[in-house]
Amino acid sequence: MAIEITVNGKLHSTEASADTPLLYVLRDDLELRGAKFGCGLSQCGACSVLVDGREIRSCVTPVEAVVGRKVTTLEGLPAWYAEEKQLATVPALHPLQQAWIDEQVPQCGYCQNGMIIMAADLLSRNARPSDAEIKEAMDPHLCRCATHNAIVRGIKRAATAAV
Amino acid sequence: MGTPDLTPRKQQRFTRDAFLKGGGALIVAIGVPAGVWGIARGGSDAPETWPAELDASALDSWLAIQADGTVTAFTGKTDLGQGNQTALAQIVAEELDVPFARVRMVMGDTESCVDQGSTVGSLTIALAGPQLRQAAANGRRALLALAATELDVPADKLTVADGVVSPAGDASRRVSYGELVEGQLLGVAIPVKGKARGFGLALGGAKPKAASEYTIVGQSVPRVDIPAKVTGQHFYIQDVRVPDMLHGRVIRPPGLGSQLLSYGQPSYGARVVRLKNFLGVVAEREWDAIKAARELEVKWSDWAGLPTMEELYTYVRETPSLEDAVVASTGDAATALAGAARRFDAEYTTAVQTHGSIGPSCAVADVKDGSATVWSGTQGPNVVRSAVADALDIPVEHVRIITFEASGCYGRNGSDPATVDAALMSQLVGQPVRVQWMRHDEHGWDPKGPATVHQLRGGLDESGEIVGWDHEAWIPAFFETTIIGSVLAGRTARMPSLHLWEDPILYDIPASRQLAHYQGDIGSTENDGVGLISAWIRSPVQLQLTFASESFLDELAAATSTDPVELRLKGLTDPRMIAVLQAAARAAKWQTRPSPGPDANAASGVVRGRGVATSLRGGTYNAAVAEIEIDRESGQIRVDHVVVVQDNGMTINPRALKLGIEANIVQTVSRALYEEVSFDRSNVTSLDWNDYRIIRFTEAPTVDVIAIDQPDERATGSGEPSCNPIAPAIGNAVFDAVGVRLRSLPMTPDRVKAALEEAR
Repeated sequence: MAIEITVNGKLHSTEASADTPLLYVLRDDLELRGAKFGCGLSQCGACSVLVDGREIRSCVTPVEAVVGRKVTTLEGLPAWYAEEKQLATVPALHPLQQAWIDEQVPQCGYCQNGMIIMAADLLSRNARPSDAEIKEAMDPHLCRCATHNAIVRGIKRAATAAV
Repeated sequence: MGTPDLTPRKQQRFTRDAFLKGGGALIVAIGVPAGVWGIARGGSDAPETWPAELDASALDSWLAIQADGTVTAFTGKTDLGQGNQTALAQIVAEELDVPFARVRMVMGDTESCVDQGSTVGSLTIALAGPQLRQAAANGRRALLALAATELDVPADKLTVADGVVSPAGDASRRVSYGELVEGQLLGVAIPVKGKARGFGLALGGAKPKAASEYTIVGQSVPRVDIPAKVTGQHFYIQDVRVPDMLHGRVIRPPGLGSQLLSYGQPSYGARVVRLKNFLGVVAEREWDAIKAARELEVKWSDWAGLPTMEELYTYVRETPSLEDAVVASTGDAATALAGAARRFDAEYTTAVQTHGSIGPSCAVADVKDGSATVWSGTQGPNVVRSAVADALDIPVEHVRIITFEASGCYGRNGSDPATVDAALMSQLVGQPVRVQWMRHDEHGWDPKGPATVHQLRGGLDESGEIVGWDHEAWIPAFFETTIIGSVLAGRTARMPSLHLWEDPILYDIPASRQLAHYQGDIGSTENDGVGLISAWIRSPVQLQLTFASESFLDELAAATSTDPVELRLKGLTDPRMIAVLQAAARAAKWQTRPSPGPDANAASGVVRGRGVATSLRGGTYNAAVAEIEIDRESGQIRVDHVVVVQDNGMTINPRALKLGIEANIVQTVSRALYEEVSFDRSNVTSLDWNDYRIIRFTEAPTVDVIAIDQPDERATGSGEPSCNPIAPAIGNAVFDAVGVRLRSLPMTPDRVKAALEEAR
């Protein structure tokens, strides 16, 4: 039986089995490339998405668990931000995405989906986080290229730029 | 949106001619950034063939100018996340006098890119940079020759601005590159010297610009790959999908030498794929393949040929070496050491480490009718092309490798073996197969940064001068890297590799020797040459060698109560190395005094220390000062701040360089403090991020990067060399703090506590 889920404001139907982790539905069925497979164990955060505005690990979240909830992926962040801030128009980029470009944050960039998603969650709860608060919030996310300092700079820049 | 259009039946066979006539339309697969695209073959029954290698002496092998003036540059190099694509495009734009935004890079497609050697050893800007620069300079000359005819003005009286040629002083008459070429091949030969392919390739012909004329090289051009990476639009190898593709998962043996005895029926509609000990499953849906692989009942024989972790360094040291070589020497070290007034001996060891890519390796292969199109995240399209041909037992001309960027690898991770896995599975099932390694596959089976052992000997005369130095190292041979899928399938399984202890002793010591014992992989003597497969993580062997030598030098400094910076400055002779060290000391506000520092005798609590180290890697000079604190109770080391200085000659992109170095430093702190692969007698046992821990946000030090630009010096490696002084700088800082020497990497709390205990 088809499962219906709402991703980036649109209702999608998938033939995936109910136990399929959301990650594979996003990547294989919806062809969204933002969320990445990293560990399948909820250890690294490469697969993060927002569900009802809070960061979750899509690699261990069965697709049936997000039925009736709002899933936002990296691709949908600008629209999510516009809704959150009640903006008249959707910006091309979420302030974090713009800050990531301005600060030239990524090296390989594979983990950066989870970093931006987690930071979006953080900034929606705490608009002006301190360095310590940023590091505490980001600590469960792994970056092997070790761009940690650039990520912290990106979040601070985005916090300043956000409306 | 959508995946790149890789449909074999939809797309014509790529030819350079068609590419040019089409004005580049062929490579504009939907949404695919410049530098990566996929075009598969047409539907003929005969094996598709591609040239064994592209002609490096043909200008058209390097550059294509479209009618709209867009320049496409082709390179056999790949981008591993440090910005090669941007830097190489800067070099090409500079030499051609076209705007940076008009240059696109096509990287790592064996059909259309010259073999410039694998993307390894921080050699891309150093060696491929000059090759592309020279190609572009020849391109500019060829275009000026066409313009001279068109405008009826001698070429030396022409100027170029933004890809438009005019007679000097007469901007009213003009012709653009696009108009000159009109979508044709340039048909110009470039003189080629040295080896016909790879690293040794040297192009002659036109003289490139002087560095003083540069307007694009040396600028902090924003990296072209970043916008797509922060919006989910970038195509990683993990994102490649082709029609009729099955999802494959490998099932590896529990022991390195285990034999497959039997297996049961797969569930979830999956099929078993098997050739000898090579085992996997394929399914139409990815989650079905994952579950089927996890749940398949498999019986393997036992194998237990690895040493225990406790025996590891004795094993490495005592296993007969494959080759011994004196890498560098001055005078007669043995005699000098025997006659020294004071003698010092110390053994240093470094643990097995994993590349630990955040994205496990992945590849897609379409093998049919005796030929293979393979999408890979490899660093070395041409070497993996041979490996795939060997694995499939088909000629190399029947294999095309199309490279897509993968998750960062920092050395040879699982990308190459995963590529062979996909090719084998596709050949066995007769359908395209995407193989995605799981986390346990990557942690368990990526070639590992190997364990090394170092015996250091030093001799001082009565006045405390260093009169003798001996560094004996047991390090991997790496003439070849083993491809595990091919081993298991019983096919040819070796890829050429390299071993790199090349840099001489930094200091002016009258009698010295560097002796290498090149070892096989751990456990390989027990399993037909296939052991715990290893391949270097950045920076090949130098990180381990520098940890040993720069820590031991600090021991000699302490023995003579000499300030560690002063001792180094006394022994250094190369002015660039001296300048780098002085810059590091200045930036760190280094206080001249011997180690250990004033708080080293404190009985308990947290103590601070600072340490310094230097390195020279392939012509790149580095010095680092680490500031640390260490908790005597818990044994925890915290690196607070690192000052790192680098002189890599000419810098192409200063901002990208600094950000790359900063990340490299934090990664190396992780390797110095935390990272160690665990294994038992059968295989690797640290199979996830809980068992193999890497640095986190709250542990990352601040980093002060100072890059010394030398625009008139050749560009040397920039990505990885700065990792080399980090571990010894930390170890030296620990000694400065508590007066105890750490001689083993990583410097875990257990090792710290043991060393403190021993010193008590």
